[in-house]
Amino acid sequence: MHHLLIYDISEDKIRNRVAETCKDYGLVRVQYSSFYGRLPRTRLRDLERAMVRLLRQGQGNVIIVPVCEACRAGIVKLESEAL
Amino acid sequence: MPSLIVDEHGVSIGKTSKRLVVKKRGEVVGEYPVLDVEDVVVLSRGVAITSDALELCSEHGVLVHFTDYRHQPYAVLYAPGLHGTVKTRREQFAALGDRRGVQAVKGFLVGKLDNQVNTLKYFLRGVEDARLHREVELAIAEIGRHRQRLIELDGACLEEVRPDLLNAEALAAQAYWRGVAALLRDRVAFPGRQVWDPTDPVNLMLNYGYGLLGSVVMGGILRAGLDPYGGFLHTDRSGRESLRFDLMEEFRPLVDRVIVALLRRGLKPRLVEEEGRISLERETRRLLKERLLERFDQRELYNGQRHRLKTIIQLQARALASFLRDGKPYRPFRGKW
Repeated sequence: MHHLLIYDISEDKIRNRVAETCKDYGLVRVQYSSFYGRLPRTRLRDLERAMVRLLRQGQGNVIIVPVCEACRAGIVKLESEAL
Repeated sequence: MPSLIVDEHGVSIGKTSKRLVVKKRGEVVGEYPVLDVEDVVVLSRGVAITSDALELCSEHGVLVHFTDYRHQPYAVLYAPGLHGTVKTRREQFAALGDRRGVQAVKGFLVGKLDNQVNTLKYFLRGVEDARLHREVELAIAEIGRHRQRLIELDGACLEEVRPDLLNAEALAAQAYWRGVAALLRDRVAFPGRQVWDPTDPVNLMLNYGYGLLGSVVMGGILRAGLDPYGGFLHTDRSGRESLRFDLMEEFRPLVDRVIVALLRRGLKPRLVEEEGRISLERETRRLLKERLLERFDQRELYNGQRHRLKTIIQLQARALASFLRDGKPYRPFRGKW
């Protein structure tokens, strides 16, 4: 299943580590504090555990949103034109 | 899961967090989460890999294969404590002296011959030329006769029948390569199969393909807890991974098919000479690698389930281990055609 992971964390060090952990799990950055990608069930559980460990060390929160197959088809990306 | 394959000079593999980072001339060309990497294959000289990257790989059961200019693996790094049981190895060595060794080798070779026949038959479907058709059919028929001989061969231990097994295999191989040569006749010069230091494109491509196959097979052997050096058909020789060669046999014709298909569809392989050695030109090598990896990723039916070919190779290694350990019959893999 695909997931969107967003976070809001004040401490630079912890925030960076959250981002690095997302990349370790194969997620791709889509905005400054949001990552997206496929997470099979066991990997999702591992990632949640890793995030819980990080959140114990600083203030903030992480939200993981599952994105179902049907929803994925409806994703819209609007962007200001480059240049 | 994919293999991370590095086949260029001057590339370095390091780690950041839990990702393998590939750099070329100091610039990052790719980052790969170790969770997504099955193994790392270093196909070229002049590649650097840090101890941190190696540690990360070992911790996650990722094997690191190094191959020489012939694409023969010369070293594999893996975590010493990660694989199967002592029992598997004890039985593997015991089987060398009893009937199980004979059965295993018959399995590998019958599988190989069946897949050779399938490969030839596959191309035969597209052949219109009547003479060529007959030639290939003759080769198929001859392989069939040697297959029958293989099946009839039996003995209390390998020592008794190894020469006969090898003989049947060699004769079948001759017929097979004649068939392949006929299929390639109007495309590219193929002097017949040459293992050592070939200078023609077809043999170079075959060696490259078997090199890749060998690394997948090696991964399976190590993960199944088998000893790569204790071969059955291929006898012990210091430093030779005989079991890897044994287990490769039934899969070789699948690699052949990819190469013959490329050539019959009109690929003009190019060669380069560097340091007095003839090898495949980079673009040819890239295309070949791409096709082979695609093939390894294709799913096929295996024990009622669809698996990727490279998973099947690993499952065959495990099937061999459980044949030796628990006596479950070993059935060679026959690719679809």
